[in-house]
Amino acid sequence: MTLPRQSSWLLLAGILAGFLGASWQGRLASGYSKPDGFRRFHQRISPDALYYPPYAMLEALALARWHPGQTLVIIGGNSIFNGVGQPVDDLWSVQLQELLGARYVVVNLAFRGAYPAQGAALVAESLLLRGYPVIYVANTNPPAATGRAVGGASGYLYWQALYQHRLSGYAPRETEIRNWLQTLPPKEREQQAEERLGSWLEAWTRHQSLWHHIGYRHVFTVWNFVVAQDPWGARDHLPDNEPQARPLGERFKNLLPEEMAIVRGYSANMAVQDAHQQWHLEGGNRQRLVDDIEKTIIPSLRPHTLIILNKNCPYYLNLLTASERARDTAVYADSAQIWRDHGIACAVSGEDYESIDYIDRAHLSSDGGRKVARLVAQQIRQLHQP
Amino acid sequence: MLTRYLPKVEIPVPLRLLGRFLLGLAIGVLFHYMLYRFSLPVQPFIYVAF
Repeated sequence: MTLPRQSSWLLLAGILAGFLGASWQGRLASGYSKPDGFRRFHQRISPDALYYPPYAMLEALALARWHPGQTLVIIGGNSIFNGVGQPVDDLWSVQLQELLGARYVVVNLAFRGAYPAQGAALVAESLLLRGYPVIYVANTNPPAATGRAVGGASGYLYWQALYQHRLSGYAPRETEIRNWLQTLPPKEREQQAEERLGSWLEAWTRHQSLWHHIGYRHVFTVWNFVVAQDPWGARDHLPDNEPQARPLGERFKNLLPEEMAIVRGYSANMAVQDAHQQWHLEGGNRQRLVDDIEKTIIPSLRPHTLIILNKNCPYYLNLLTASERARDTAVYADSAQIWRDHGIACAVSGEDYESIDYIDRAHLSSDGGRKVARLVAQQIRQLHQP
Repeated sequence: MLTRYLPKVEIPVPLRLLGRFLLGLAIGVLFHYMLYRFSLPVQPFIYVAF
């Protein structure tokens, strides 16, 4: 063989070895890579800051502290359960762990802007299928319902879990996702197709696992405005910096008309009055929630699931008319009953909370976090005795 | 060309071949990294409370 030809073959062999070696390292990283002293996906290790934790990391986090004989309490849902508004030392899920004791392992996998059907729900489903004792706890509100496993900033986790064969192959969910994809405008459909392709490749090449691990431990290679003060630094140097809530007198002052419109929107188009002027969840919305639950939460997970419906801050609720407040209460009560009718434990949080329990319209302060931790602990004990 | 003024250094063949292989390794790792970069969304996720 001539020297140039030898040289070309060696270059090719090097490319192949480099790619396969990186994939192998990624596969190893997918088994061990996880944030240190994990409490939650705070802003600097979340999609807000271009850190998209691979699905394998979520499972690794869930199992990191678990030992046989313990029950895993996996927390999903949105920013309220992520603990936005609570400094990490006051985080509600840490208090939940203290209340539940050593027989339970609480892992907060909630993401900002996520839904009960996303991320953490898939981890709970996967671990339950593999025989782990799991309780899944998530928050939502009546209009948001279950959400969909795909879409939004956390939707990629469904595709990754799917292609890593972690899910049960629940036909109603798959059909619903297929139908949803067909309704998307071409640009969004293309975006979903790319997300899906990337997730399929991740199952083989583990590029997300490796480069997120490197970004967390060594150097982050993509600039992002959230961490503009240290964009290239390893994310393990950036602590959870969720601030203390402002003094009560300074809260709730911004965007009052807009916030009131959102508060009214939680029930305005969702309820109807009967002949006795009593509010009830309207039939179409009732059916939508039923469909959502049946299509997104797999039946085997339902007896192990607790849903918390978060009410808005009383500062805003008290500005509603008496009829609007009654409508809001009815929508929450009827929605909770539908969850329960499907074998899913459900409770409403915030009914007896005060303004000091919130930092804004929706997010709980450290005071509110303590209250919701007590509620969830009580509900878990009713749901499950280890 | 400027290269004509550079001293002519004869690199041993095994070293040249090793260099090619190492270059290949770097390109392979770069391909792997590009998969990660291309998978990141073009538009950032900006969290808005709902």
